[in-house]
Amino acid sequence: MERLGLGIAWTALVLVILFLLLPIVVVIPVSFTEATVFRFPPEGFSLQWYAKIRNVDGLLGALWLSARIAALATALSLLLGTLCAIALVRGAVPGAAAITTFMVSPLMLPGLVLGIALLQAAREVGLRDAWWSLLLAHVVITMPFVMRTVLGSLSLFDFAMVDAARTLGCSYPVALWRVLVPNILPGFVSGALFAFIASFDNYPVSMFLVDVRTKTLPIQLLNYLEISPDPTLAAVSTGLIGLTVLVLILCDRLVGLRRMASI
Amino acid sequence: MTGMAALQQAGHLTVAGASKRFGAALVLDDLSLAVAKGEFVSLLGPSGCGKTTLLRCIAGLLRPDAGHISVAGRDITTLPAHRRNVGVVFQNYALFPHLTVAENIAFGLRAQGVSKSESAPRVAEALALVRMTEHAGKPVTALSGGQQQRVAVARALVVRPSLLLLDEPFSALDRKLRETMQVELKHLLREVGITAIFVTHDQEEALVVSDRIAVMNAGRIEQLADPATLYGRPASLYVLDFVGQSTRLAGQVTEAAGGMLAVQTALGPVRAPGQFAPGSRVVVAVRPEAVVLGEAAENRIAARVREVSFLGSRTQLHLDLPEEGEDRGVVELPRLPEGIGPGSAVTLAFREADTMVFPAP
Ligand SMILES: Nc1ncnc2c1ncn2[C@@H]1O[C@H](COP(=O)(O)OP(=O)(O)OP(=O)(O)O)[C@@H](O)[C@H]1O
Ligand SMILES: [Mg+2]
Repeated sequence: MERLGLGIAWTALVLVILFLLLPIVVVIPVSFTEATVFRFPPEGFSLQWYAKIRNVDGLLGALWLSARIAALATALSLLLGTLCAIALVRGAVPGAAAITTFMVSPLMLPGLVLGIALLQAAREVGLRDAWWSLLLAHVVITMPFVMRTVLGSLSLFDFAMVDAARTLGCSYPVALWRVLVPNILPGFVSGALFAFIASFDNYPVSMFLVDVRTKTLPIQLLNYLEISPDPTLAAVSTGLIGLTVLVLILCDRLVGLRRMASI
Repeated sequence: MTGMAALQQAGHLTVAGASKRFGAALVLDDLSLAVAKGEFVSLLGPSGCGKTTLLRCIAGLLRPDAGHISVAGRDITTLPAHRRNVGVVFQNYALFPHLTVAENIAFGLRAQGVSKSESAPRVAEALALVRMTEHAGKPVTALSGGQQQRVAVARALVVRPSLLLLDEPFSALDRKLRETMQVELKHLLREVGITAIFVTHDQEEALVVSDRIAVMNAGRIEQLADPATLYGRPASLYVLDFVGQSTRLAGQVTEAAGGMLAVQTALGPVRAPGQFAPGSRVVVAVRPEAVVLGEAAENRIAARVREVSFLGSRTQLHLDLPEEGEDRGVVELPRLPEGIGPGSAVTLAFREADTMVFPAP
């Protein structure tokens, strides 16, 4: 009986891994196809779709915009999120547990609702600039990811170390910088990674805030797909996969994926 | 303020009238303390009596609600921790896991802007002082408990603090190692010539490491004295019970004349030096080793042995006392005479001069 049960679990594991990996694996060969349609298996080999990325109107611009918004939003979230987390862990904040739950739940609101609400709010305060509204919205999107990992690392951090640094001659902010930051670096890196990705591929919130000249990558890609569904998208996706793998390798070098995954 | 001035005269470290509240709890209660230069003082008391809180106030990690703290004649009450130059060895050492042993020790020098060329020999010296030179490049997570403690001590000492505070520095070590480290650390700190305050809730440890012991109770110092005085002349029943064991019997003063009292206890009359009015309810007490079997001293009581504990170099008798309550009886003998065991009837004798009298609680 036990063997049978384990066998079923094993099969389930294999199937789920295949299910998770297949779409990602399929998109890579398709990006090198000679055919003009998005079809598997690919026909022949060419780099034409990679070459075409540069010629599609607004695609590179959107990539650059998304990268900048994601990087800035992540940086802001890291700074603000860490300060909030320290206050929640150390500051004897009334209702800290409830606030923590609220800030950690990644977007308790559906993205759609949040997008509409942010659009309304931006209008109310007279913020018409798409770039700034996108940045603020993406800080809202990324904050929970940062909060979750930073709070996780902080709960394992012994604040006596900060006290020790203070008695050795560091002021409180310097002690945080020299002792707390290096020790919760894995939390920072994995939080930043999740936050960056969440911002980079966000569609439902950004949708409400973009304008004609300011479009993020997911929105630009979807627009393009509606007009000409050719393998350019596969080429873009493959590029993003490559980038992600690169970042993961860097993170592994920096702090170790095991340490990151355990947070 | 004249009290403060007098205290300052008396000590290298002075705490004058320090109070600290956490919410409704008064954790330090108008506490005063003076420690001389080069002296080792232990703060001894049960869990929650405010030892760590007092230490944190001295280190500048907490601000007392009232009172003053000064070191070497300088009022540091409002000085932030990083400008006090007070070294601290934390309870779990609080070493920096992202740094090596040598980097941990160099941390304070770097924070205080000491140049690389000057700090390197000082770190080497500190490493040698605690015999950790060969471990200089290791991460601190790879060290044993005793080694971690040495690194913590070296890290605190290398910046040449005016005062060293140690919060239960031995509590993370096992018993055998603890005894070795107590002597080793005391010797090392004496060599350095630093003024040190140890926090502990272990009375034996306090007796081993300190010149004087401050017994704390609920945010106050009950008695500050050298170990012999503390043990031999405790100022209160609290100190009597906290430091060492004793035979103690509740009783009533029947006679008082010329500084001598006669007290009627459940085990018979006892005479002792003291100042109480006839009729006062008191507790008489005597230390276990001041008691002998037989009739060789002025005070004699008859009792029955309940239990015998063999402790190696000595044997303890626990007496059966007729009354439930505050009375307790512990007697220590160098060796157990033939024929004495649980249930034996014995006569115990102790000198009047060794008998202490306290007001009943
Ligand atoms: N930051 C704080 N906030 C609220 N209460 C505190 C705080 N720090 C200490 N206390 C309380 O003050 C009392 C004394 O604490 P303290 O840590 O000084 O005791 P201690 O004598 O060091 O005890 P232990 O031997 O257990 O370390 C305790 O009841 C503790 O709960
Ligand atoms: Mg404590």
